[in-house]
Amino acid sequence: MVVEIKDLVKRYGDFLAVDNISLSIDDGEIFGLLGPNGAGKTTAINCMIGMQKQDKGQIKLFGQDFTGREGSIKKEIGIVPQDLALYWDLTCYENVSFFAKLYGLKDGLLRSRVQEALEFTGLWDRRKDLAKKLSGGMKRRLNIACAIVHQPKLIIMDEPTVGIDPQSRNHILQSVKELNKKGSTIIYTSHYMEEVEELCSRIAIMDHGKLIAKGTKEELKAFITVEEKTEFELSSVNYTITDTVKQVSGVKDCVVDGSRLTVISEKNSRNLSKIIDCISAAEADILSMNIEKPTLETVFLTLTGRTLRD
Amino acid sequence: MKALNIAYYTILRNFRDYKTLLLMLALPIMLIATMGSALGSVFTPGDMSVTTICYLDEDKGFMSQSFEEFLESEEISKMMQYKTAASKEEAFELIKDGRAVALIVLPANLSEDIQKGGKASIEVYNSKYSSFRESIVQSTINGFVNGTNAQLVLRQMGAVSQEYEMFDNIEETAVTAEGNAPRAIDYYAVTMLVMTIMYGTGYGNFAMKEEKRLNTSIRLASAPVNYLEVVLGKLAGSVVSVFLQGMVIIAFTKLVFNVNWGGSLGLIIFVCFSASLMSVGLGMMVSNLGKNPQATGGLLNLGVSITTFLAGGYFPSSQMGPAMEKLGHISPNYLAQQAMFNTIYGGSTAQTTNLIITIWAIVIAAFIIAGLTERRSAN
Ligand SMILES: Nc1ncnc2c1ncn2[C@@H]1O[C@H](COP(=O)(O)OP(=O)(O)OP(=O)(O)O)[C@@H](O)[C@H]1O
Ligand SMILES: [Mg+2]
Repeated sequence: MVVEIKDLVKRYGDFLAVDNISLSIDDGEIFGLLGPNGAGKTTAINCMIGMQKQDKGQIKLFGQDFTGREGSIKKEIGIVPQDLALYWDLTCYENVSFFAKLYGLKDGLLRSRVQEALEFTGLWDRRKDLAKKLSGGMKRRLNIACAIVHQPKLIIMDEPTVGIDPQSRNHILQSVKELNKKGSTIIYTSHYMEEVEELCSRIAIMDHGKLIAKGTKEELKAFITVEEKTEFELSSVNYTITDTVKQVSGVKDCVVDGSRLTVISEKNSRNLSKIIDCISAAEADILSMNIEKPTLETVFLTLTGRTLRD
Repeated sequence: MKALNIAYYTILRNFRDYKTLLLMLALPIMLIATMGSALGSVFTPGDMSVTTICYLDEDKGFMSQSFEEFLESEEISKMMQYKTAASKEEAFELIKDGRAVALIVLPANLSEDIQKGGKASIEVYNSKYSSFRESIVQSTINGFVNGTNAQLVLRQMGAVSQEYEMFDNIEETAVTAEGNAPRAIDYYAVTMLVMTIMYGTGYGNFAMKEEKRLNTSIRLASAPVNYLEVVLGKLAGSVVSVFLQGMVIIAFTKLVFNVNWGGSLGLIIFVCFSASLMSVGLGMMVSNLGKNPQATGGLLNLGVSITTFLAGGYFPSSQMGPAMEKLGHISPNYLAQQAMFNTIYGGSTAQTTNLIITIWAIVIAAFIIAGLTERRSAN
């Protein structure tokens, strides 16, 4: 077991940021930590790596208690912070090299590891450029290079793909898989369901500081296979539609998001024509319609009644 | 080892921050050049004659005669005026009122003692706080005494005519004194150097807070490095950055403006180093006492302009009356400035030692307070 968390509680004043969560992560996993803004993901991670003191609960990394063994445990962890953590006036090479030295790397090993990390993130050609001169995607990749240069056993990535182009994003997703193949256990935090679905073997979903579900993708989806999700893109949405749709037999929930209407029904309710009747009764045109197979997004929606991103 | 790594990269980054660097180096050098020439008249020898000293002659022997000749010599009289005092009490009144800066006493039997080859000394009384001007007086007297000593040695060796020697000796001293007379640029080189070092409070202010702003504090905290090592590394990096900037100013002003940094460059450099520690320490302390580094940074910048002004950094405070001059002595800039003036112009060694000890006392106090208030947190 690489990570074992038991009854973790973290408060900021009166605010409960992490509310009694327990989870364990196995060696070699890519573990997804999913949740909307403010769910408490970063706070949980900070407690995990000893950056913040929890109010309650136990955390074991590599089967050991953190206190007293900080040095040896920290050596095995690499953290990719959610917000870029780079020295803008240093070059890519200097940034990676600086952090590598904090892990005791030196001389030949230092040089080869720094080169490896920069090549791995596709920044070797840009090694002499100042960090501030990089594009957004490259900065994200440098943020990763600084975290993996010491080849940690556990890599914690806190939303490593926020705000970048699809190409850089793909590059990063591929890198995560490769790092995992090379033997690192990975904790991957995101609010992009697709990423987590593509990468992770097991997933925990957080909301308002609580762990609301955890398991493999299949387990989570099985959780809602009793449901069907239908999405309509409408010319106009008014709230009488949701009221009437909710009365249709088999409908469990109905959510409006802009011009989109999402309806969740029990499986095999065969109520689609009735739902469409409600919509046309409200004199709205259906611009498009999509009957979805369950995804993690549906899981989240079912569990919280909200979408992951507002 | 890891602290050294942190220190090295801190220096590297400080020196790559061209905007700040320009402010820290080009600005003072420009100020030295412009104030050194624009306000030059403040320091022309003619103006220096405003410096008035009291002279009490209890000796009335050949030494008093030669000392008076020395004071009246062309070079010295350009810098100093003397009033003959009837008693020490009268002289002390004048000094208290700021009408004279020092009292020089030729004690009774001075000439006799010298002739006998015994111990003899000229007494110099300064006001409690001595200033730039008083170091000039001190240095002038030292020049005279050194000359006399040399001449005494010669006489004891049975050398040439006494009268001729004496004259020669005064000449020599006068030449030294003139070489010592500071030009405005010599004055401003010192005060602006000290100002630059004091602006190093900014490095102290941002040392740890900057890591938080850059989020790199997360990496530092998650790496296997002691927090103390991180603080020491940041501290050393900041002190060395400030110190190196000071060295650049000394080298530049010496080579380009031919500024007089005196003969004891080692001591000047040590004062620079001590002042760099003081400045970074004070910066860290204020940073920790406040919350917002932007606010404490602004406060420190304002503070440094005030302490520089009080210490006579922009305009010699001796010209602003004795009250202002005394007020200036509470400025940390004054400690370093005065230590350097003393060193360059041969002022009192005892006072220099005291000044340096005071700087170190501030260093220790600042670091203790900074240490006690340092909050170890990532956010
Ligand atoms: N230092 C702090 N002081 C007070 N409240 C905080 C602090 N840090 C975080 N919080 C609050 O704790 C909650 C959880 O924050 P956290 O950063 O852990 O969320 P997150 O799941 O990482 O969100 P995001 O996806 O936006 O990164 C938020 O409501 C946040 O406002
Ligand atoms: Mg977060």
